[in-house]
Amino acid sequence: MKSLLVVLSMLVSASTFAGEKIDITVKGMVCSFCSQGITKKFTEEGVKSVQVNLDKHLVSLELNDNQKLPAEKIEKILKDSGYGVEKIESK
Amino acid sequence: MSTKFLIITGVFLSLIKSPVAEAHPVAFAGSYSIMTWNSKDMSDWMFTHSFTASWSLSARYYRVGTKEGERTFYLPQVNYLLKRWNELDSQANIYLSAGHGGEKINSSYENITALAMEADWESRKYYISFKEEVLMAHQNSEKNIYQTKLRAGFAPYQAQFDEINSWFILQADKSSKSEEEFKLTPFIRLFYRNVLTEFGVSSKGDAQFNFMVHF
Repeated sequence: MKSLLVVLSMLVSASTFAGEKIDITVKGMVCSFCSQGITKKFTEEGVKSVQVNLDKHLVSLELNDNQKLPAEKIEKILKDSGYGVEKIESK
Repeated sequence: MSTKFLIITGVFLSLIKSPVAEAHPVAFAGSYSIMTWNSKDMSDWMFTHSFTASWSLSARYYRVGTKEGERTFYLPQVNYLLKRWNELDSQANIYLSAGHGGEKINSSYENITALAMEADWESRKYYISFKEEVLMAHQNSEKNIYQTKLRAGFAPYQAQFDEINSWFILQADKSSKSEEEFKLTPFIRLFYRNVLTEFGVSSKGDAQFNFMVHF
Protein backbone atom coordinates (compact mmCIF):
# COMPACT_ATOMS: atom_id res chain seq x y z
CA MET A 1 0.00 0.00 0.00
CA LYS A 2 2.85 2.35 0.88
CA SER A 3 4.63 1.75 -2.41
CA LEU A 4 1.36 2.28 -4.31
CA LEU A 5 0.99 5.68 -2.64
CA VAL A 6 4.55 6.56 -3.57
CA VAL A 7 3.97 5.63 -7.22
CA LEU A 8 0.69 7.56 -7.31
CA SER A 9 2.25 10.66 -5.78
CA MET A 10 5.09 10.49 -8.31
CA LEU A 11 2.60 10.27 -11.18
CA VAL A 12 0.60 13.19 -9.84
CA SER A 13 3.68 15.34 -9.34
CA ALA A 14 4.98 14.45 -12.82
CA SER A 15 1.76 15.55 -14.48
CA THR A 16 1.59 18.67 -12.34
CA PHE A 17 5.08 19.83 -13.33
CA ALA A 18 5.17 18.56 -16.95
CA GLY A 19 6.06 21.32 -19.40
CA GLU A 20 3.35 23.13 -21.28
CA LYS A 21 2.71 22.12 -24.90
CA ILE A 22 1.93 24.77 -27.48
CA ASP A 23 0.80 24.34 -31.09
CA ILE A 24 1.40 27.27 -33.41
CA THR A 25 -0.12 27.48 -36.88
CA VAL A 26 2.40 29.41 -38.94
CA LYS A 27 1.83 31.40 -42.12
CA GLY A 28 4.48 31.29 -44.85
CA MET A 29 6.27 28.18 -43.61
CA VAL A 30 6.61 26.40 -46.93
CA CYS A 31 9.93 24.59 -46.65
CA SER A 32 12.35 23.06 -44.21
CA PHE A 33 15.27 25.17 -45.49
CA CYS A 34 13.38 28.38 -44.74
CA SER A 35 11.94 27.18 -41.43
CA GLN A 36 15.34 26.41 -39.90
CA GLY A 37 15.24 29.84 -38.31
CA ILE A 38 12.13 28.90 -36.37
CA THR A 39 13.70 25.88 -34.70
CA LYS A 40 16.90 27.80 -34.01
CA LYS A 41 15.09 30.74 -32.42
CA PHE A 42 12.88 28.58 -30.19
CA THR A 43 15.85 26.41 -29.19
CA GLU A 44 17.72 29.57 -28.19
CA GLU A 45 14.70 30.44 -26.07
CA GLY A 46 15.37 27.26 -24.10
CA VAL A 47 12.27 25.25 -24.97
CA LYS A 48 12.46 21.50 -24.38
CA SER A 49 11.55 20.49 -27.93
CA VAL A 50 10.47 21.98 -31.26
CA GLN A 51 8.65 19.89 -33.86
CA VAL A 52 7.76 21.17 -37.33
CA ASN A 53 4.95 19.70 -39.41
CA LEU A 54 4.96 21.32 -42.83
CA ASP A 55 1.80 19.55 -44.00
CA LYS A 56 -0.22 21.07 -41.15
CA HIS A 57 1.74 24.38 -41.07
CA LEU A 58 2.35 23.54 -37.44
CA VAL A 59 5.17 24.27 -35.00
CA SER A 60 4.74 22.26 -31.79
CA LEU A 61 6.62 23.36 -28.71
CA GLU A 62 7.18 21.53 -25.49
CA LEU A 63 8.30 23.84 -22.72
CA ASN A 64 10.45 22.93 -19.77
CA ASP A 65 8.90 22.50 -16.35
CA ASN A 66 7.59 25.82 -15.09
CA GLN A 67 8.73 27.57 -18.29
CA LYS A 68 6.38 30.20 -19.67
CA LEU A 69 6.31 31.55 -23.21
CA PRO A 70 3.69 34.28 -23.70
CA ALA A 71 1.87 34.59 -27.02
CA GLU A 72 3.50 38.01 -27.63
CA LYS A 73 6.95 36.44 -27.30
CA ILE A 74 6.01 33.61 -29.67
CA GLU A 75 4.74 36.11 -32.22
CA LYS A 76 7.97 38.12 -31.96
CA ILE A 77 10.15 35.02 -32.46
CA LEU A 78 8.19 34.05 -35.55
CA LYS A 79 8.28 37.60 -36.89
CA ASP A 80 12.09 37.67 -36.42
CA SER A 81 12.21 34.39 -38.30
CA GLY A 82 10.22 35.94 -41.13
CA TYR A 83 6.83 34.30 -40.60
CA GLY A 84 3.29 35.14 -39.58
CA VAL A 85 1.08 33.57 -36.91
CA GLU A 86 -2.34 32.17 -37.73
CA LYS A 87 -3.18 30.58 -34.38
CA ILE A 88 -1.57 29.73 -31.01
CA GLU A 89 -3.04 26.93 -28.91
CA SER A 90 -1.87 25.85 -25.45
CA LYS A 91 -2.57 22.26 -24.47
CA MET B 1 21.87 20.39 -78.20
CA SER B 2 24.28 18.59 -75.91
CA THR B 3 23.87 15.11 -74.48
CA LYS B 4 24.37 16.46 -70.93
CA PHE B 5 21.48 18.89 -71.41
CA LEU B 6 19.22 16.11 -72.64
CA ILE B 7 20.15 13.85 -69.72
CA ILE B 8 19.47 16.53 -67.14
CA THR B 9 16.18 17.43 -68.83
CA GLY B 10 15.20 13.76 -68.91
CA VAL B 11 15.92 13.32 -65.22
CA PHE B 12 14.08 16.61 -64.62
CA LEU B 13 10.96 15.26 -66.25
CA SER B 14 11.10 11.67 -65.07
CA LEU B 15 11.77 11.95 -61.37
CA ILE B 16 8.61 12.41 -59.47
CA LYS B 17 8.90 13.14 -55.53
CA SER B 18 9.18 17.53 -52.21
CA PRO B 19 8.94 21.58 -50.35
CA VAL B 20 10.80 24.80 -52.08
CA ALA B 21 13.64 26.78 -50.85
CA GLU B 22 15.04 29.79 -52.47
CA ALA B 23 18.22 31.34 -51.24
CA HIS B 24 16.81 34.60 -50.01
CA PRO B 25 19.27 37.48 -49.63
CA VAL B 26 17.74 38.14 -46.21
CA ALA B 27 17.14 35.25 -43.80
CA PHE B 28 16.10 35.10 -40.16
CA ALA B 29 17.35 37.69 -37.67
CA GLY B 30 20.88 36.96 -36.44
CA SER B 31 21.63 34.38 -39.13
CA TYR B 32 24.67 33.96 -41.38
CA SER B 33 24.66 32.42 -44.83
CA ILE B 34 27.10 31.40 -47.52
CA MET B 35 25.72 31.33 -51.05
CA THR B 36 27.69 30.48 -54.15
CA TRP B 37 26.80 30.03 -57.84
CA ASN B 38 29.49 28.56 -60.10
CA SER B 39 29.93 27.70 -63.76
CA LYS B 40 32.75 27.86 -66.29
CA ASP B 41 32.04 31.53 -67.06
CA MET B 42 30.84 32.71 -63.67
CA SER B 43 31.56 32.52 -59.99
CA ASP B 44 29.44 34.42 -57.50
CA TRP B 45 30.09 34.17 -53.74
CA MET B 46 28.18 35.93 -51.00
CA PHE B 47 28.73 35.80 -47.28
CA THR B 48 25.72 37.38 -45.63
CA HIS B 49 24.65 38.38 -42.15
CA SER B 50 20.98 39.15 -41.55
CA PHE B 51 20.70 41.74 -38.79
CA THR B 52 16.93 41.57 -38.79
CA ALA B 53 14.34 39.67 -40.81
CA SER B 54 14.35 42.65 -43.20
CA TRP B 55 17.99 43.77 -43.49
CA SER B 56 21.21 41.97 -44.32
CA LEU B 57 24.75 42.86 -45.30
CA SER B 58 26.80 40.77 -47.74
CA ALA B 59 30.44 40.58 -48.75
CA ARG B 60 30.41 39.60 -52.42
CA TYR B 61 32.95 38.30 -54.91
CA TYR B 62 31.74 38.08 -58.50
CA ARG B 63 33.69 36.88 -61.52
CA VAL B 64 31.98 36.77 -64.90
CA GLY B 65 33.07 36.04 -68.46
CA THR B 66 32.04 38.69 -70.98
CA LYS B 67 32.59 39.39 -74.67
CA GLU B 68 35.44 41.70 -73.64
CA GLY B 69 37.04 39.14 -71.35
CA GLU B 70 36.78 38.11 -67.75
CA ARG B 71 35.73 40.71 -65.19
CA THR B 72 36.00 40.51 -61.42
CA PHE B 73 34.11 42.52 -58.82
CA TYR B 74 34.45 42.90 -55.06
CA LEU B 75 31.69 44.64 -53.23
CA PRO B 76 29.86 44.95 -49.96
CA GLN B 77 26.13 44.79 -50.56
CA VAL B 78 23.05 45.76 -48.54
CA ASN B 79 19.91 43.65 -48.98
CA TYR B 80 16.42 44.70 -47.94
CA LEU B 81 13.18 42.75 -47.77
CA LEU B 82 10.81 45.32 -49.20
CA LYS B 83 7.65 43.26 -48.80
CA ARG B 84 6.67 39.75 -47.73
CA TRP B 85 3.30 38.08 -48.06
CA ASN B 86 2.93 35.16 -45.66
CA GLU B 87 -0.04 32.94 -46.44
CA LEU B 88 -0.87 29.55 -44.99
CA ASP B 89 0.22 27.67 -48.12
CA SER B 90 2.61 30.09 -49.75
CA GLN B 91 5.05 32.94 -49.35
CA ALA B 92 5.95 35.80 -51.70
CA ASN B 93 8.78 38.31 -51.38
CA ILE B 94 10.28 41.38 -52.97
CA TYR B 95 13.93 42.17 -52.22
CA LEU B 96 16.14 45.10 -53.14
CA SER B 97 19.94 45.01 -53.10
CA ALA B 98 22.55 47.70 -53.54
CA GLY B 99 26.31 47.40 -53.45
CA HIS B 100 29.25 49.64 -54.14
CA GLY B 101 32.78 48.37 -54.59
CA GLY B 102 35.56 47.82 -57.06
CA GLU B 103 36.20 46.08 -60.33
CA LYS B 104 39.72 44.74 -60.50
CA ILE B 105 41.44 45.93 -63.67
CA ASN B 106 45.10 44.87 -63.84
CA SER B 107 46.46 45.95 -60.47
CA SER B 108 43.97 48.74 -59.75
CA TYR B 109 40.29 49.00 -58.95
CA GLU B 110 37.56 51.01 -60.65
CA ASN B 111 34.33 52.00 -58.96
CA ILE B 112 31.36 49.79 -59.55
CA THR B 113 27.78 49.94 -58.27
CA ALA B 114 25.40 46.98 -58.26
CA LEU B 115 21.64 47.34 -58.02
CA ALA B 116 19.19 44.44 -57.99
CA MET B 117 15.51 43.70 -57.57
CA GLU B 118 14.32 40.19 -56.84
CA ALA B 119 10.80 38.81 -56.49
CA ASP B 120 9.62 35.30 -55.76
CA TRP B 121 6.55 33.27 -54.93
CA GLU B 122 6.71 29.78 -53.55
CA SER B 123 4.41 27.13 -52.21
CA ARG B 124 5.35 23.62 -51.19
CA LYS B 125 4.81 22.48 -54.74
CA TYR B 126 5.60 25.35 -57.08
CA TYR B 127 8.09 28.15 -57.23
CA ILE B 128 8.81 31.11 -59.46
CA SER B 129 11.35 33.90 -59.16
CA PHE B 130 12.61 36.87 -61.11
CA LYS B 131 15.79 38.87 -60.66
CA GLU B 132 17.02 41.93 -62.50
CA GLU B 133 20.49 43.26 -61.79
CA VAL B 134 22.69 45.98 -63.18
CA LEU B 135 26.42 46.34 -62.56
CA MET B 136 27.32 49.93 -63.33
CA ALA B 137 30.86 50.88 -64.27
CA HIS B 138 31.37 54.48 -63.19
CA GLN B 139 34.10 55.31 -65.66
CA ASN B 140 32.48 53.91 -68.76
CA SER B 141 28.74 53.22 -68.97
CA GLU B 142 29.30 51.06 -72.04
CA LYS B 143 30.78 48.49 -69.69
CA ASN B 144 27.55 48.24 -67.66
CA ILE B 145 26.22 44.69 -67.32
CA TYR B 146 22.45 44.11 -67.31
CA GLN B 147 21.37 40.67 -66.14
CA THR B 148 17.95 39.03 -65.95
CA LYS B 149 17.21 35.70 -64.31
CA LEU B 150 13.87 33.92 -64.40
CA ARG B 151 13.30 30.63 -62.58
CA ALA B 152 10.35 28.27 -62.30
CA GLY B 153 10.26 24.98 -60.45
CA PHE B 154 8.16 22.25 -58.99
CA ALA B 155 8.53 19.68 -56.26
CA PRO B 156 7.67 16.17 -57.37
CA TYR B 157 6.89 15.16 -53.78
CA GLN B 158 6.33 17.01 -50.53
CA ALA B 159 9.07 16.14 -48.09
CA GLN B 160 8.79 16.67 -44.39
CA PHE B 161 11.01 18.90 -42.24
CA ASP B 162 13.66 16.21 -41.61
CA GLU B 163 13.66 14.62 -45.05
CA ILE B 164 15.75 15.31 -48.15
CA ASN B 165 13.85 17.67 -50.44
CA SER B 166 14.20 17.71 -54.19
CA TRP B 167 13.11 20.25 -56.76
CA PHE B 168 13.29 20.58 -60.52
CA ILE B 169 13.98 24.09 -61.68
CA LEU B 170 14.30 25.64 -65.10
CA GLN B 171 16.36 28.83 -65.24
CA ALA B 172 16.50 31.37 -68.06
CA ASP B 173 19.39 33.86 -68.03
CA LYS B 174 19.87 36.92 -70.14
CA SER B 175 23.01 38.99 -69.94
CA SER B 176 23.92 42.03 -72.02
CA LYS B 177 27.65 41.24 -71.99
CA SER B 178 27.79 37.47 -72.06
CA GLU B 179 29.10 35.49 -75.04
CA GLU B 180 25.77 33.70 -75.14
CA GLU B 181 23.21 36.39 -74.43
CA PHE B 182 20.41 33.95 -73.58
CA LYS B 183 20.86 30.71 -71.67
CA LEU B 184 18.49 28.01 -70.47
CA THR B 185 19.54 25.71 -67.61
CA PRO B 186 17.56 22.94 -65.94
CA PHE B 187 18.58 22.28 -62.34
CA ILE B 188 18.08 19.57 -59.81
CA ARG B 189 17.92 21.03 -56.33
CA LEU B 190 18.46 18.96 -53.22
CA PHE B 191 18.32 20.29 -49.72
CA TYR B 192 18.30 18.96 -46.23
CA ARG B 193 17.63 21.21 -43.25
CA ASN B 194 19.98 24.20 -43.70
CA VAL B 195 22.10 22.95 -46.64
CA LEU B 196 21.01 23.40 -50.24
CA THR B 197 22.72 22.27 -53.46
CA GLU B 198 21.81 22.65 -57.11
CA PHE B 199 23.29 20.94 -60.15
CA GLY B 200 22.50 21.97 -63.70
CA VAL B 201 23.73 21.81 -67.28
CA SER B 202 22.88 24.62 -69.68
CA SER B 203 21.59 24.31 -73.23
CA LYS B 204 25.20 24.92 -74.32
CA GLY B 205 26.48 22.06 -72.21
CA ASP B 206 28.03 24.12 -69.41
CA ALA B 207 27.70 22.65 -65.94
CA GLN B 208 26.65 24.82 -63.01
CA PHE B 209 26.86 24.12 -59.30
CA ASN B 210 25.17 26.22 -56.62
CA PHE B 211 25.55 25.80 -52.87
CA MET B 212 23.89 27.54 -49.94
CA VAL B 213 24.03 27.10 -46.21
CA HIS B 214 22.67 29.22 -43.40
CA PHE B 215 23.27 29.01 -39.71
